Amino acid sequence: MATNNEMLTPREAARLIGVSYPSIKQWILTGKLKTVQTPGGHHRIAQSNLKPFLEKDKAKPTIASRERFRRVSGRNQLAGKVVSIRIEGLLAEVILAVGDTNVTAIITANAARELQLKKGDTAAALIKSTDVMIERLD
Amino acid sequence: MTISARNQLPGRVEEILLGQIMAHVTVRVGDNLIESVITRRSVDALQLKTGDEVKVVVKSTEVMLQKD
Repeated sequence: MATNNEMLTPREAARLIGVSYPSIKQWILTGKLKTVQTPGGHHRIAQSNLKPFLEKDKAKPTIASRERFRRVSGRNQLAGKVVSIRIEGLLAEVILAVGDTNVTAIITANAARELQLKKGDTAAALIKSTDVMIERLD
Repeated sequence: MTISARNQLPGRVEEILLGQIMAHVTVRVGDNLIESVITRRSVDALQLKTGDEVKVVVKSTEVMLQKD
């Protein structure tokens, strides 16, 4: 399972939950948002600490996830926010927070650059329904 | 069972449409509905019914990304 605890800078966190950078700074100063500090004294926020704020962000009107990008035939379009990007050689690993879970995508490094993906960006994961397997839980 | 696939999303079966050879299974994962097309044989082998707790499994190389 993809790790659910990426560390984000205050600026990335602000983009992720849709508030301004000064608001995030204020929340850190007042203790509303817990952070860990780097050896250099910079704040880093764990993705899991942003969950309650993401819930509130969801309350804003959004387009139904399957109707978001109707130009493509793919049945599964999961809208989420980019929480991690790692580009290495030819490939890139992009992790998207979708609701309570993370979705990992491996795309080419060129595709990641072309999309100009950054942490906090809104993007959708697109999965052909024939590529989806079902595992029974017992 | 351990599977290497990076994406394993827990959900509940909401609808199963059976065809002659294939079956269309819709799973609710949080607020999202995920559609899966698997063989009818698999549905029978797994004895899938609506309301069952399942995991939706997707290899990360099968996931495309789209930006507005």
